[in-house]
Parts: sequence; structure tokens; C-alpha cells
Amino acid sequence: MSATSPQSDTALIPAIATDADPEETREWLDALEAVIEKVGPERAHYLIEQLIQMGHRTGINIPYSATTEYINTIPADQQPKAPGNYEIEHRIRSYVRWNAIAMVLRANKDDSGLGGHIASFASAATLFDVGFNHFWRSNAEGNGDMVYIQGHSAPGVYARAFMLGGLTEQQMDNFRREVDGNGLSSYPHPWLMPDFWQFPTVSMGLGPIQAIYQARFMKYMQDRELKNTEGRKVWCFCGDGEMDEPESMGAIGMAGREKLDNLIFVINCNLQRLDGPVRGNGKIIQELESDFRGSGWNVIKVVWGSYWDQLFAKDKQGHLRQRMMEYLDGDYQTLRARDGAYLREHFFNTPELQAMVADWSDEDIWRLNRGGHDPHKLFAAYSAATHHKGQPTVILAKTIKGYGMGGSGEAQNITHQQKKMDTASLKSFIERFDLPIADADIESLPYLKFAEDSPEFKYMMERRQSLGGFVAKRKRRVDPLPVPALAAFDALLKGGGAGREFSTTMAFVRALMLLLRDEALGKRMVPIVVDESRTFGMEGLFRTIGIWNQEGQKYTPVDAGEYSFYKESKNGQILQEGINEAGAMADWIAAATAYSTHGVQMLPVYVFYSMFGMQRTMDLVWAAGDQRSRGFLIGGTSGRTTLNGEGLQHEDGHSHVLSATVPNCISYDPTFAYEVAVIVQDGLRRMVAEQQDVFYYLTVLNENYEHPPMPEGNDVAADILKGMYSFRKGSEGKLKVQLLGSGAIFCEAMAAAELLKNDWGVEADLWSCPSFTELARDGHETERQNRLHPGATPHVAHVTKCLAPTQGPVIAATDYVRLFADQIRPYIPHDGRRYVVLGTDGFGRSDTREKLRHFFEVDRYWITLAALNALADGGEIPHSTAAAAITKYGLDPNKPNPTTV
Amino acid sequence: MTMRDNEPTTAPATPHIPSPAEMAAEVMGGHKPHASPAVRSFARELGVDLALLQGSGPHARITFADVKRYVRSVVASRR
Ligand SMILES: Cc1ncc(C[n+]2csc(CCOP(=O)(O)OP(=O)(O)O)c2C)c(N)n1
Ligand SMILES: [Mg+2]
Repeated sequence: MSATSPQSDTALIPAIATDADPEETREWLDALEAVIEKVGPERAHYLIEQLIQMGHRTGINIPYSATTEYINTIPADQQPKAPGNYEIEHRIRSYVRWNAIAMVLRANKDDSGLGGHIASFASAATLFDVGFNHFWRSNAEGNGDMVYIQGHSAPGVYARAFMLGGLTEQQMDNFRREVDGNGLSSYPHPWLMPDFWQFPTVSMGLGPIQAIYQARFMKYMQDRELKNTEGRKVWCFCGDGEMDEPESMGAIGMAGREKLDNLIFVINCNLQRLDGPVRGNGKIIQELESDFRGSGWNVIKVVWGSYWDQLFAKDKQGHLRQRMMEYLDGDYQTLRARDGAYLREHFFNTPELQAMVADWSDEDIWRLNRGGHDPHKLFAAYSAATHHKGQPTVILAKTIKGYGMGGSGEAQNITHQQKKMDTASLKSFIERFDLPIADADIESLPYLKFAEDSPEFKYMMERRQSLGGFVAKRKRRVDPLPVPALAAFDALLKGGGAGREFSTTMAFVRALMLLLRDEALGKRMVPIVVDESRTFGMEGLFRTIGIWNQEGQKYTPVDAGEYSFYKESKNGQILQEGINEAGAMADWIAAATAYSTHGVQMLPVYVFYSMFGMQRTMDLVWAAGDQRSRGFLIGGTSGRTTLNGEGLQHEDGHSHVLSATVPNCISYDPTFAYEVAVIVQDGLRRMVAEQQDVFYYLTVLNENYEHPPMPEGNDVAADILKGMYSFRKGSEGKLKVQLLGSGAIFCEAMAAAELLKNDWGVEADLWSCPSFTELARDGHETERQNRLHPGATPHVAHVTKCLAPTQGPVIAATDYVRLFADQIRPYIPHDGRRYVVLGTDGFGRSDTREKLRHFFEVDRYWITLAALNALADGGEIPHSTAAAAITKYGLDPNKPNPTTV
Repeated sequence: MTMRDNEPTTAPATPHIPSPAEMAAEVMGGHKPHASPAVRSFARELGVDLALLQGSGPHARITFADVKRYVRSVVASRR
């Protein structure tokens, strides 16, 4: 028997030095080796699994290593033969590469500073190309695959669309020049290119988390028989640097648990991010492999290209594999920035390795390619991914950043932001990719296109036709469904009657129940909760509509047999995300865009703890606006002082400031049940009946009080929607004030009106203002209309229209920071009247509502004081009256400003 | 050094990649008798060289019975 070389021992048995009984070890290993050889690796694997299981059963705590060798998961000899004509595909891809570069270079030719990225798409071109040519079915009609393109690789998608005739040369030249129309957005933005882009991805991390929830929502649609989504896939392209965002990996455990085999991640492991290496001292592919495998994913590594295969063939002793594993990412990056001689010297560094490439030229060595630049390897990986059942798949493709850019950019640390290439680099690029561009034309950076009767053009077209049409195409509307009339919400419009107290949260839940029973909309409602249903009194829904779970309910719930038990079922309607606001927001987006992605209008209602909605997931809210979401976001237990006991981190006094920043988000802070009804009904009209791309943010309260019936009057509903309506007029009188408010604090304004009348002889008109934000928007628009049409009959802002015929200073109080109600200041009539805003600026804290409203100076007494002071400032009463109020109500003039304590 | 782009355009000729069996044979010295660790230790105690045995189990695996039979036959032949 041949002696084993000590070197190979250390390769396979690294712990041999500390081996207490080498003889026994050898017997086990020899036994295993014999099994591998005589029976096969599968049998060996089975035995190892059995040993580990036995170990676990007997209490040996064996840690589990989730990584494999630093080689391709699919061995060369098990790789399916890729269909298609790869000569043609290479020519097409070379044009795409060039056009993607040309458009960025052209955009930056002068000193426009428009920016753009070359290197990222250069590394991803083949990853996209194989998908475009062989896998991605068009989703233009809501039946295909959904592809989340890495945002800053957008030029590659434009380049391809241009070659297929979907974009004009003029549009290409308008890359990042959108203002004059006919431009191309820097990144995928459905708001800016609503017929082209489906998913905004460029805020790193949002693509991956949205893709995961999108894939799961497909299963929801299927289970609820709203859409057959069988066979459809979600593809998500991300950068290796991007994986450091918590959102990128935060939901991969869910994807594994939910067995999302309709989900494929392709991570472009070019080893670099913006500044430098992703894991210079380690291996990003190995790290991601263990993270994803540990989360229940199918992991396919595409590390090496075909040219390595012949070396693997020679590598019977595993020297090459060992070297591949020990070499660091930082060094791999450096290799590709040097040349073949450097690669030979630094990588093939032992006699065994040197021998492998002894008869190779440096050029041959330089040709050794990475997996992500090999369409055959990628085809094999994509094909395996699309056929894999029971698990999501991640493809870890190793590439070179700035591929093809040559010495000026390839694998350089500066490459990410490179937007210029000198003529020499361009020339070598043209040579390298064999492009028909004469030297004299290089400077003009001509776009390249195949003639319509060329084999290349026909090939591209045929490929896309066989896959159902273009990938970059977005559906904008569906046939509208009938929405209930306002009268359907009669119970809310009538109010609760004297003595019956309830909250706006309850009013909203009642509206939701009505919608769930609606013939047309009932099935389309998607209630989404984040472990707060009981907080909002929604737990009754668990039993009636059930919580969706792909697995149904295999256990006996502890409250089984009770009326309202925790029911999970395969056709449940509620999406219960657990304590997971980002996931719930991603879920909401998937449902809120189903009209476009599935061609099925859904109406998601996500109820969150208001402090943990906007503030927590604002970037997703922004992305929701971008992708034209339609649905309701409900900020429960809102208001800095209304949610009283929970303290600083819970008490929301600023979500309305945040929601106001999203142009297509319509926000309201209603006080009464009928306001809720009017707002919800109109939301349905706009989003469903009229297919407007807006969404709604409503804050609702947990404070119980009486709800009056909706005031009479033709304009009340319309004025509620505009954000301000006359709730109650005071009597005629010499001294008058205008009291404005929203949410629970409007009730304080009502009480202040009484105090003003009874204690000070001042009459108050009460204006409920469910949306200071909508009022401000109306004001902005009115103002600019007038600016643009000087001399024309001026438009009048709603606030101005309401207040102009009134008398006395205007006082607004809300449970939000002053900025919220201050938005309307410019539209208070310019007749010398004061506008005073009270709000809850500062950190919240725990106490009773009364105490908190006193602390933040927004209660009835402070409103009264503000009104008297404003009257005094206007010379209508002496200041001593205001001073008297301070004494009468026991207010402390030396009380510190709430923002300072 | 400018060279033509080398993303492969023709399907690669698939070379023979060493199988786990070949690698195991290569790295571990190869062609070990096919027997479980327990049988190995049993044979070691009796001083039996498993390489001399023919297995009767599936895939010619050497069993306890094979070792015993072999010992018996050796002892018998010595008599
Ligand atoms: C949340 C967020 N932070 C920062 C950026 C800016 N940014 C755009 S691309 C990029 C580097 C991306 O590196 P990687 O994910 O590895 O992608 P590659 O370009 O290497 O393919 C950065 C920092 C961003 N788009 N989003
Ligand atoms: Mg990267």
C-alpha cells in the first residue's frame, strides 16, 4: 500500500496534531474513504449525517459548518449544456456593454456633473444577459417574473432596451436629464418612468427585503385564489457590498422558513463596494454561503469559469482547492488589477501549483475567468435555481468590478465612481470586445445597434418573444372595482350618541369590518399587523378572517374553543408579520402594487404603532411612494400625549411631519368617526375607482370620547377631505377667536371654547382640521398658481377661504410638533390677525393625558391662554387679562420649555 | 496587454473532474479495504491484515463474519 504523503494528511485532517488516538482516527477515515470509493459519495454523506444525528441524540453539541469549498457548487461534469447561440449572445452583450458605458460617458462629457456608474454593470453584464436571454418572462401583464435590478446597474438595462427599439437615441442622451421630459432616470424609479421600471432598488437593502416579501405575497395570492402564481419567480440582484445593509439579510430567515422556492437572489460578488474591498481579509462568498445556508436557502456558488476546469481536472490532490480557499478577497482583487505574470507568481506559488500551469503562457493564465463572467456556468446555476423545490436559492457569482475597463478601471478601488475613460482605454475596450467603431469615431462615443434584419437583432427579439415580451415594462392600471358609497358607513356618520365613548381606532376597525364584508372589495383587503392587533382591538379578526399561514395550523392554539381564538389557516386573510415593521412595510408594498405586478387590485391596510411606522421604516415608505403604492397605512395609538403611559420612545408627535414629505402620501389626523369614514371612502374612490397612484396615512387614537354625528351641510365632506371644516360657530360677539385642532387635541380646543366663553366672554369658532398637510399643499399650489398668473383673478387657498369671513386671532393646537400646524401659516388671511400654534415639541414621557397635555402646553388652559394673549397682542383686550388667566388656571410662568427637559 | 474578451462563447469541453472517490484515493493513499471502523478495530486486535480479505457484504464489504472466517481458516491451515 502506498504511503500517504504528510502534506495531504494536513489537507484533510487539520486537527491531527491534537489527535488523542491517531490509529482510531485512521480507521474511521479509512473506512469512510473505502465507502466513498466502493459505494459512492452519497452513501458516505448519508453515513456522516447519521453519525452527526447520533451525536446530537446522545447530547454531543456538534457545531455545524455551513460552508463548502471555494469552488462551484455545480461541478463542471454535472453542468447542463446551455442552449442558445453564445457567439451571438457575446456580440450582443458586447454592444450592450458599450452602450451602457457610452451613455454614462456622454452624460458626463461636459462638466455637467450628472454622474452615473460604469463599473458595476460591467461586472454584472453577463449575470443580466443570461436572465434576459433565457429565463425572465415578461411581467408586462402581471403574469411573469419580477426582476429587481441592482439600481446603479440601470445603464445596462437602458442599453438593451435601446437596442430592442424600446428607447430612442435621444432618450439615451437624456440619461439623468429628466426635467425637460423624455429622460431616463438615474436608477429604477417607477414614479419617473411608470411604463418602464417596476421596482425601485437603489437604496441599498430595500431591493432584497422587498423581493423576499414580494415572493411570499405571490404565495398569498395563490393561496387566496386571487391569482395563479404557479411557476412565477422573483429575481433579485444585489451587490456584495449591499449585503451589509441589515435590510438585505434581515428577512432571509423568513424566506427559508416559508420555503420560498419562487425566489432567486443573485449576488454579484465583485469583491468591491464603493470605497474598497468588501471583505479584504476574508471571503464574502464563504460568509454569505454560511449565512444563507444556515437560514435554509439553497446556495449555488459560481466562483470559477470554464477555463479553470482543466486545472480542476488535474487537481487530484486538492492543492488548487486549498489555495483557492486560503487566498483572501483583497488579494483576489489585486490579482485582477495586475497581469498574468503576477497571477502566476502570487497565486500559483507552490511547486505543485506551479507544475499545473508550467506549460501555460501568462496570457493563458490571465484568461482564467471567474464564474460570473461565464454564461455557461451561469446558465447552469440559473437553471438549477429555477428548478429547485422547497427552498429559496441564492446564487453567489464571483465577478470582476469594472470588467473590460482595462488598466484604467478593472478591479481598481476607484472604479465604482469612474465616469470618464480616456481614449486609450476606450480603444482597448473596442478591441477587446471587437466593436465596429473606427478610431476616428471613438471620441464621439457612438451608440451601437444591430440592424433589424441582422441575426443579432432577430436573436434578441426571438428570445424576448419566447419569454413573453420585454422585461422593462410596467402595467399602470387595472379595471376599477365598484367602491361603496359614503352611506355604507352610516354607523360611523351617525356618531355614537350621547354618553357612548369610543376611539377613532375603533371607528377605523369598524370601517375595516365593513370593507371586509363588501362584495367587491372584501376579498381584496389585506390587513397587515405587526404583533399589535390586540393593542388596537383587532383581535376579533383572527377568528373571522384568519391569519394566513402556508402551513395552516398544525398545533392546537391555547385559546381553541374560545370565541375569538388565534386562527391560522392556509386561506387566512391577515398577514401577521410579528415584530417586524420593515417586513410588514415590504409586505404592504407588495400588496399595494399588486394592481401593477399581478394585474389584481388589492387594498392593503397596515396598522402599526405610529412611532414605529414612518420613523422606523421611512426609506421603505419613500420607496412605496416611488412605486406608486395604493393602500392605507394606519398609525395607531398616535399623538404625543394621547398615548400617555408609554413614554419617550413610543409617543409619536412627528409622524405627520414625515408623512408630509412623501408627495403622493395623503395624511390625516382625524378626531371623529365620521371624519374617518369620509376619508376612507374617498381613499377608495381615488385609489380603486379612479386608479390614482396615491396612498393614505391616517393616525388613529386610543382615547375614548363621544363622537357627534357628522355636521349638516353640503360642503362638510369635501371640506373634511381638504383638511379643514367648520365644526361649530361661536355666537356673535365683540371678542372672537378661531380655534383649530386635530386628533384628540381638537377636543381640548372644544373645551377651551367653553372656558373662553364662560370665563372671559370670548366667543370661539371651532374648526376641525383633519389634515394640516393637505391644507398646506393646497396653499402651496394656490400660491404658485397666483404667482404664475399675475393679474388674473387670484385663486384662494382653502384655509384662507374658511378664515377670511371670520374675526379674531387664530389658534391651532395638535398633538404633533408645531411644524405640523405651522405649515398653514402663509395662508392665514393677511389682515393683521395673529396665528399661534401650540404643539408637542420635545421628548415624550409617561404620565396621565391631563398631565402630559399640561406639560406640553396643549391643553384647554394653554389654548385659552394663547387665545387671550393673541387678543391682547392685537390690542383687543389688556394683557392683564392674559395674566389673570395664568393665575386663574394655576399656570407657572417659570415652567421650563418642554423641549429642554 | 489588450486581448480579446474571454467570456467563453462556445460550450466548454467538459474535462473529467476527479470524483470524490478518485480524490479520496489520491489524497488518502487509496484503495483501502472496505470495512467499518468496528471491523477494522476487531481485525487490528486479531492482527489481521484486511487487505488480504475478500468481503462478503454488499459492495464486497468485509464483515465481522469474514474476519472470523479468515482467522478460522488460517488457524485451520496451521494445524
Ligand atoms: C442605502 C444606500 N447607501 C449608500 C448608497 C450609495 N451606493 C450606491 S452603490 C454603492 C456601493 C455598492 O457596492 P456593491 O453593493 O458591492 O455593488 P457593486 O457596485 O459592487 O456591484 C453605494 C455605497 C446607496 N445607494 N444606498
Ligand atoms: Mg460589489
